[in-house]
Amino acid sequence: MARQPDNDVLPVQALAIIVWNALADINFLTAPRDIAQAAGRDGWLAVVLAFGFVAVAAWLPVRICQRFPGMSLVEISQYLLGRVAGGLLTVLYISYWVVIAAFVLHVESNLITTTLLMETPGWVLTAYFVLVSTYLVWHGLEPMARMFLFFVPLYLLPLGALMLPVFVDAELGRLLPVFNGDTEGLVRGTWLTFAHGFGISVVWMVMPHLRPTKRAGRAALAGVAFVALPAIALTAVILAVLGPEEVAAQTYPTLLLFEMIEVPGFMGFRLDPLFLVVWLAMAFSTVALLQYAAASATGRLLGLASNRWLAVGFGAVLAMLGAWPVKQMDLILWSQERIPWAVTVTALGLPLVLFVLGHLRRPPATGRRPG
Amino acid sequence: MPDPARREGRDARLWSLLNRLLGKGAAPQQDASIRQPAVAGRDLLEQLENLFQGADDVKIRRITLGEEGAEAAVLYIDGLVDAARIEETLLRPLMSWAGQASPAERRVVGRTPELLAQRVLAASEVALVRDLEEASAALLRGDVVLVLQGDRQGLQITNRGWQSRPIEDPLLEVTIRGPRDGFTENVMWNTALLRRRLRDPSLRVELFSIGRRSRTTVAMLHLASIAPDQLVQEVRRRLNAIDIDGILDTGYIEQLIEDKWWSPLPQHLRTERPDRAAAALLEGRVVIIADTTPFVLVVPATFDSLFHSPEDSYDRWFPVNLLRWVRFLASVLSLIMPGLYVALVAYHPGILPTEFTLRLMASREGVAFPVLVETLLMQFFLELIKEAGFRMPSSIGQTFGIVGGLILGDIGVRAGLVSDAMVIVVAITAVSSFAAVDRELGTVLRLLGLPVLLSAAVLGLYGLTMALLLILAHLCTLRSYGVPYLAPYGFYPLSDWKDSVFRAPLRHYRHRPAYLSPKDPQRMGRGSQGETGGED
Repeated sequence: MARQPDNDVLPVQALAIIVWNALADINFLTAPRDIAQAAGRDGWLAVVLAFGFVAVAAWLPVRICQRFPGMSLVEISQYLLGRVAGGLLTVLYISYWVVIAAFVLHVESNLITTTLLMETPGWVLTAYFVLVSTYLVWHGLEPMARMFLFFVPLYLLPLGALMLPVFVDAELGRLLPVFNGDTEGLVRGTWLTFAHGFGISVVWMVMPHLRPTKRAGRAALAGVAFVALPAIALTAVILAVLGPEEVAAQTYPTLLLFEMIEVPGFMGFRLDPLFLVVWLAMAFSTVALLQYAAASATGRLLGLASNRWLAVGFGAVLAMLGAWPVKQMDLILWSQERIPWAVTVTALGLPLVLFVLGHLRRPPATGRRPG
Repeated sequence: MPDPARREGRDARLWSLLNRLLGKGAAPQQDASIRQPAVAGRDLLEQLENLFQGADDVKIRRITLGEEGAEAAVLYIDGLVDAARIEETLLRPLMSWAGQASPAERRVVGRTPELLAQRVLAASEVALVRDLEEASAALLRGDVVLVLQGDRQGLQITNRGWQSRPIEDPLLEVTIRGPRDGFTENVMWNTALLRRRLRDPSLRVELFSIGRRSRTTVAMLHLASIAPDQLVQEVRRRLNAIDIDGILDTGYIEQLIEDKWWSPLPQHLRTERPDRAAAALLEGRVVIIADTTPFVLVVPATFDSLFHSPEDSYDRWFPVNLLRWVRFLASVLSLIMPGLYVALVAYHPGILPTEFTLRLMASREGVAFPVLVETLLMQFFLELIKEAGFRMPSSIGQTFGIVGGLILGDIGVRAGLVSDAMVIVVAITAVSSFAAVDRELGTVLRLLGLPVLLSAAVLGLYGLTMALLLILAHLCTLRSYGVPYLAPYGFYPLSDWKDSVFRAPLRHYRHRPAYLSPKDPQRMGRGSQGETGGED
């Protein structure tokens, strides 16, 4: 009940919601294709394994930030690696968040212009999208977490309701036998699935805002689990209904699955637009989180008291990058080649290094507090 | 002939003094130039006469308190006092005392206002006024002032007796079950209505005088044992900060103390029902009542609470849940219905069932305008009928609404201005917006439907979704006195959700909403759990 309430202080449960929204983004739209191409019918198994790694990627920044209370990636990296190296590491993360957000914007505008608005220029969609996300990021993390909480039922209910009717057409035999011996395919599938958790590194910038941080590890893992369960179910259903070959050949196999649904008594009624609306909300939360992370890290790096105008600046950058003309196939190929490595480095590699260094060095007496 | 320069100076001083008097308490940091020397006059009576020169409604009744006593005058403003009570409690005791008292007593008591108050007057509330400022303020409030000639002090006798509307059924918040009394235009009656419901000594009534010229009495009420101090202090601070010439309704206060003036959404609960205000006090909220208006403000307000009707607490939980869901659904419909229609018809007709799409397209055949213009046209007609219906005399307003709606709809369809489907869409939008418990929220949601409509008209379902995301983002950023506008939806205990989109049985309301940070969180003991102790 503060006179000027702090919009940057979060209860620990909010971390679960943020992790959930950072992971449940465009993945369920594009991931099944990549997984099926790599792991075939064992794709669902790859998802199970991948979420184990995602859990580690979520847990690492939490543990490090708990050791350095009140500090984010910016301060921790500078403390452990030195001012210059730490600063460069922060810049690397900021660049990564911006590029990934631009990638999501591209996928979003491509999908909408190929399914719903064929004649609308992509930049219009991107600009509108970024405008709304900037408005939210401007107001801080607490309203963001509150808004993302509404996305949980928005995501789970339609997804569940839409999966049930297609399950009738599922041929579970397509998933058998479990593990066909293609270890390389399974490993690659696991890696590609893990790479779809590209938003997880925003945890670095959320942790300093939690009060208290005691159960943050559990909250982060709960967020991962809430995404893992529907993701595993969805992958299994898609593979069982369409078959691994068909899934691998489709750009958006999940969308195809929902185009197949027919509501009894409503001939011609298509449910895939509903699915697209849900997906839009998920993409929105990912972009907003990445935008927030970039603005927050820059603000901390520059020692600014407020990130608001930085959020606007990053919004403008994202709008421009998102409107950059890119062919859809080039984007897919680029994402398959580069993003897995980038995610592996930022979500697992560098956090592991910081984790080890963090345990070798004693934390400072007082951590820098946000705001 | 008086010197014109001197007269001008006196007038200026008089005006300055008036400003100072009327502005007392309303403007904490007044302009120093307002503070001028007092009005000329040998004693308080002469000062008051000078101050209210030309005010014919200010009555002065002169009396003599015997040869040994002083000349006295009773001053009051006609229409603001109860004349019969002046006679009974003031004039008659004074005259009677003057006739019966000994000369020595008349000499002492008749020249001392304090002694007159103690020994002679029969009024229940008498206070000493020490100067012109206090005396004139009392007069303007509707009190009677008794002054003795030659004295610079006087007595203020509370004797307010202006005409006021009796306690009646609330006009806007109609319920089937529940108390029938509503707030009136009299602030003290209104506080009494709440006192009657909450016989708790911790019910605090704090009075403010707001408005430099109107000096409206504003009461802030809270239960000191429940409402958090920080909230009370914040409301007090915002009320004290108001610096305006006049407060004519709580709407003025609402607009001057709300958190975000630019938000279209109401950030205070408005009610004319004492039971609703009492329920809010019990939750730990603060109630603001202003004189001359029956509309009372409740803070903090949450979006969810705007959907709650007072009778939600009186009826059993089962039907209440259904009605509450209907209200929520109606609000969503009033917001998205026109936009959804435009998006589906103009951009995505293929996603609807084939048969429905064919019928829809058939109904649009022969319509002269594009679907957006058609929708805007019908929305305009709707607002027109609604506004004209309100302005018309009540006896024909309802008839006009029905006839106007039917004729405009029917003729509009026949003339090819709008389609059948459009009439249905607008009708659903209108009915849905009127289902809102809070009248202003209903209107706001219907009007917010316009940007949603435009967004959908430009970008179809995508535009609709983005506009709704923007509105949701705005809702998430809003706060009312520090409380998130969307509370209890958020990171609050599950017990707070018992009176939200769902309404749990009353026996489960053991705690007050945690998002209000009440001092005493316990609301109900385990004893009041019925036969099965609440475990069923």
